Amino acid sequence: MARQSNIVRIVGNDSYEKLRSTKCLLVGAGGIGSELLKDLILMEFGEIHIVDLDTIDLSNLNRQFLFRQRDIKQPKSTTAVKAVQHFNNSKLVPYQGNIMDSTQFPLHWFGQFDVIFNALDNLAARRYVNKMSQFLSTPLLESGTAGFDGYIQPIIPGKTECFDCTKKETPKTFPVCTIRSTPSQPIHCIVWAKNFLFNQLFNAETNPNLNEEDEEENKDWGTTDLDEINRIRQETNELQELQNIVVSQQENRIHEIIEKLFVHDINKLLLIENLWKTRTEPTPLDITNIQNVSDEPSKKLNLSEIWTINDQVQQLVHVTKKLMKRMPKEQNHIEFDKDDQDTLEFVATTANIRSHIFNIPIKSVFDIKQIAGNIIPAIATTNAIVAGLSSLISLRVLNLLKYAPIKSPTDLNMAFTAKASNLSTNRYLSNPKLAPSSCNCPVCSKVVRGVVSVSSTKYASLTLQNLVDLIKDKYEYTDEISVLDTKNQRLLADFDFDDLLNKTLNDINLTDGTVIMFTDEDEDENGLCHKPLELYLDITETLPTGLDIRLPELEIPLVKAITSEEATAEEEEELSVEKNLTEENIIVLDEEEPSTKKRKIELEDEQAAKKTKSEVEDVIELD
Amino acid sequence: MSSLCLQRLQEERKKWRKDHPFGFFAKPTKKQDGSLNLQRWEAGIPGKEGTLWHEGVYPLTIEYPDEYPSKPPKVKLPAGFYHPNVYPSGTICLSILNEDQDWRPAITLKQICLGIQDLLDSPNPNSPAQEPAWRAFSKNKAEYEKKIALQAKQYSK
Ligand SMILES: [Zn+2]
Repeated sequence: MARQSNIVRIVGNDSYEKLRSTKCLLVGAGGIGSELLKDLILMEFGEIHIVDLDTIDLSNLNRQFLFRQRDIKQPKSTTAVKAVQHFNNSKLVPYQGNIMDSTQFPLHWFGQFDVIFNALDNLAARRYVNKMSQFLSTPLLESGTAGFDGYIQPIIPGKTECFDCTKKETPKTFPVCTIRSTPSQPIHCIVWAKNFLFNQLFNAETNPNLNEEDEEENKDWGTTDLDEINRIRQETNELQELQNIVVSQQENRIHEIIEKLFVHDINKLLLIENLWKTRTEPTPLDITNIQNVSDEPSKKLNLSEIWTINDQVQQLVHVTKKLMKRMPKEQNHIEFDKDDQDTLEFVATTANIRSHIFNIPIKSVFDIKQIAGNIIPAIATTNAIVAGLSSLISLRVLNLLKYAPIKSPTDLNMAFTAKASNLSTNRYLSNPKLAPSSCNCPVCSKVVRGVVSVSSTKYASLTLQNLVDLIKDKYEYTDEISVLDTKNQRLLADFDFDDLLNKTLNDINLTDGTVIMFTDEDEDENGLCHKPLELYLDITETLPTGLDIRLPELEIPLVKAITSEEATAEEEEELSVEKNLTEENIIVLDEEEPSTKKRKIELEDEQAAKKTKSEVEDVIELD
Repeated sequence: MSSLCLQRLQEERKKWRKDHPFGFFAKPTKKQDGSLNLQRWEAGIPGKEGTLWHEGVYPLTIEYPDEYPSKPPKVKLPAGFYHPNVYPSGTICLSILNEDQDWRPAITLKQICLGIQDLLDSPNPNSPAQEPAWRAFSKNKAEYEKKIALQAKQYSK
């Protein structure tokens, strides 16, 4: 085979043999994952296991080249494996599932791999795989793209920076006051229209009286009792009334909704004079704009152009009618979706009318779609480049390139687009050497890690107190320790809370694969305490006979009890640098998965300055 | 939630245990399964001695987002709380709780609680969050003070 001879020529016969016996895990079969799978097959890794939760969507097809129209709704992992069979010389094992599901993918399952490739699209899964790689000391190749930007970072546990050593910037949120009363940018009005107004009107489950759990913007209308404040009551009732108009489809009263939102509410805000001492006062919508609305469907408007206020109002009335008609068919619950033209135009027009009132520039529907949909286009070329770098560097991570041997893990390089890091405009990629793990990292430096194995019979009767006692004994804690379930983020016991100690692990749902953190609550006279200990709970039948529980052999060093002051001081300094660099391109908002994150890295090369670089998922596509 | 967030919250609990101002309390709430939720706390803020507020202990809920300590916690008084800088929902408008203003990752629970205690008796007329209390405070002190005293009784210890 010609291909084989190529790879042999690059790595040599010995390394080729090693490659053929290497088992790798590929997490994600989407944008980067499709490319990586192809690359890993061409490199002839012995065994490739592919995990992906998703099924194929139409919008994937333009760049996830292994998939075709006929594959829509099929699982990505199995479809990808079928698609590559004709040029494949590796053993391929696909799984459809969530990589964070410890039942399907327990730690010992991760343990079979020599190297892990991340091709993920979200922060939570990246963090999880990073942690598993730390538990097992398995090298991880982390990667991500956002538009034309991308990066790869090899992670050698214990030796080089892990995924969490650098801070991940999350999308900016806005203070309630700005959204509700004093917007100053288009985005503020779009958040108001999309997250607050749209929900209030088109989701009958949004009861203005009971929305404590709703999004921030909604919360501020929530009131429970204390009828002394009549105004709030009134405001609440008014909102309920607007929703009633929508639900009962009273088309002839749409103008009341518009008047309430854009005239009366603005007049009320104007009464609070202090708000406008340092700001330009808003101007309520001119009532003639509302009176001018004709019954004729609006003329064809161009979605990339900026409409007049009259057109905005006209189109708002038109699209509100359409949405009203849809309400009964959709169980009085319509969700905003950037690809649902009615919802998009409702949000665009209401946001624009509000912008107009507050002297903020108006945007085209197309622009608002991008902002409200939180879209950065995914670029096939970037994915291909990043996947190529990731697979290439794996040869060095596994030390299979004889002419470029790795003496120390910090000889390895990461790579990222220079533009994303503001580093240089005339160079596409930067590839600094890896930095040693950060001593402040909460994941790789500030905890000691191991696996606690328990037989299932022992597990059935093991109480939390038993486990705590065993641990105190084994690692010589003097007094109280607190217990935290880091997987489900709950505190199970501490100095002031012992309700659960007498329950069995099973009672409190500490199941196979849970990660439990033990923290020393006591400090000695020098302010020192044990470093936190994180244990992976492994319920197993493979313990040697006579042994029903096994704690890992670990040295747990003493560290300073409270450390956050210095750490955060440093962090703040970093933050201020970061803010200067990225203020302009932060996009919002309320999506569960932030679509843009920035991460910081420290460069070891000539610049040695703090720069940012953008990481990211391969995001949803513009269709 | 990130590991950083969890570790920091545990540390906040430790620090509060070692040192908190007299008359204040703060503790994580219980989850349905009986464990504690470090991301949602309840606290009590006593009104300052010698002010109209002193009779009451005012209940707070503190919610720490996943991005804490990069982002500030959301701190709320009960809905409908009468104060110029408290939104109708109870959300408190205070610069140290605002990511865009004075929030810093190093700010502790103790500093937040003391900040709110200060705010009770020294409202900031330039960031009104509700109309009734703001109006009374700026235009009709007598009515304002009457309402505050009444509210203090309602929350008396
Ligand atoms: Zn780390």
